[in-house]
Amino acid sequence: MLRFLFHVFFPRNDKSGRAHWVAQRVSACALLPLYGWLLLSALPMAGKLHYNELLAWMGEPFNAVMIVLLIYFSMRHMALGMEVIIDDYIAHPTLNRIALLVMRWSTLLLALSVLTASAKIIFFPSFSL
Amino acid sequence: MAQLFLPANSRIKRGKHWALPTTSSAKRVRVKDFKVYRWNGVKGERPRLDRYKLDLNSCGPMVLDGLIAIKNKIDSTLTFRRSCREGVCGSCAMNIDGTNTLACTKPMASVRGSIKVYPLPHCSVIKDLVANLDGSYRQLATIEPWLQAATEVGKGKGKDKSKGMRERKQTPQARAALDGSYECILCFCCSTSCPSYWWNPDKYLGPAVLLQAYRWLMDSRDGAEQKRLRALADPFKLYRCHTIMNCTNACPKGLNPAKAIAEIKKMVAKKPKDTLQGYL
Ligand code: SF4
Ligand code: SF4
Ligand code: FES
Repeated sequence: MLRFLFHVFFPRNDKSGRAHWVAQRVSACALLPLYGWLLLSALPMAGKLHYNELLAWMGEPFNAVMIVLLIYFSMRHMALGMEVIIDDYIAHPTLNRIALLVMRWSTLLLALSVLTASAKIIFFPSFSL
Repeated sequence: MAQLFLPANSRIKRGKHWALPTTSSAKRVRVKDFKVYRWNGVKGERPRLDRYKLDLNSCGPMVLDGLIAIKNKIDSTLTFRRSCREGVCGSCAMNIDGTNTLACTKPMASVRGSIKVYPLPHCSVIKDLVANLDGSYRQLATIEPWLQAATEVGKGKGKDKSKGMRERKQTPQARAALDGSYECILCFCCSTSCPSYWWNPDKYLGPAVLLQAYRWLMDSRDGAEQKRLRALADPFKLYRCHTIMNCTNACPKGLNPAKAIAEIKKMVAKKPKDTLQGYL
């Protein structure tokens, strides 16, 4: 299951610089309007909203979809950027593979935990442990 | 691989101070101070920085003229490459006053204070100012920098194979597409100024070679475009370029390898079918 998720998040891409380059640009272009939306809609609310109101705001379908997209593309863009840094600076083949693996798994786990947290807020706003 | 410190055998020690040669001319002397990297090619010995004083009235105006004057009048052991002395052969590329450039087109007057001369950065040194460029030349060969036409034009008939052969014509517009890349003299000032090339000189082709790759991609007579693009599309050969633009800054011929690399990336991205499926 995790392995499947891993490959959805990081398709086999070590052979083609082209796929990486295109993906980096696609995620960057997607992030521009997403962050624009976040700034425009979240900034005016800052400090004015109650906790419950914020949960309700996130539960609205459009906002929920936007937030999930934002998380996905942010994490993906971050991982693509980290990959560039690792390939630039870690030339040793084994160390390079280890660094890439650690970086990818931690990004995936980070993405999963943030998405789970969002899902909980979106679907069960009043649920607490 | 990125390194934070110079290896021990690259740390430079103080060198000799050479006196100003005496002149018989009555003209007032205009003294210029040179600091020149010296390494005699003996393993285990550290490089040193020698200081020379030169009368600018006694030689031509360019840094190369100064180096030649030093070799002729002060220290005949100083070693450097040069050939054309007018910026068309690319032999005299070195690091002068902190930038990679051609010694023969760099005026001494443009350098304030003493003129510091080093070999091209991040290369192994053969002797003094002569950098080892074997790896870069080998990379140039890998992009197959020659015309690979898709069709044969007027193949020779009968005994005389040249009979019936025709030249491959280009329209003025098609020829103009090569402007900005055919002028490259392969001095490697650009590649050796590129941080990406410093860290991965074995896998990243570097701006000089990529500009040549672009030159052949743009040639209307060449028919191997798809093959050339496919060969470039791996994660290292092309995509280590992060548009830092050091190459364009350094090019003594005023060319723009960074733009050529960006164009190649666009060409590769447009290439039909391949590994894009399932990738977002
Ligand atoms: S633009 Fe690319 S090739 Fe030029 S210096 Fe920067 S990384 Fe190197
Ligand atoms: S692009 Fe410029 S700096 Fe680079 S090799 Fe050609 S002439 Fe030299
Ligand atoms: S000597 Fe030919 S380019 Fe300088």
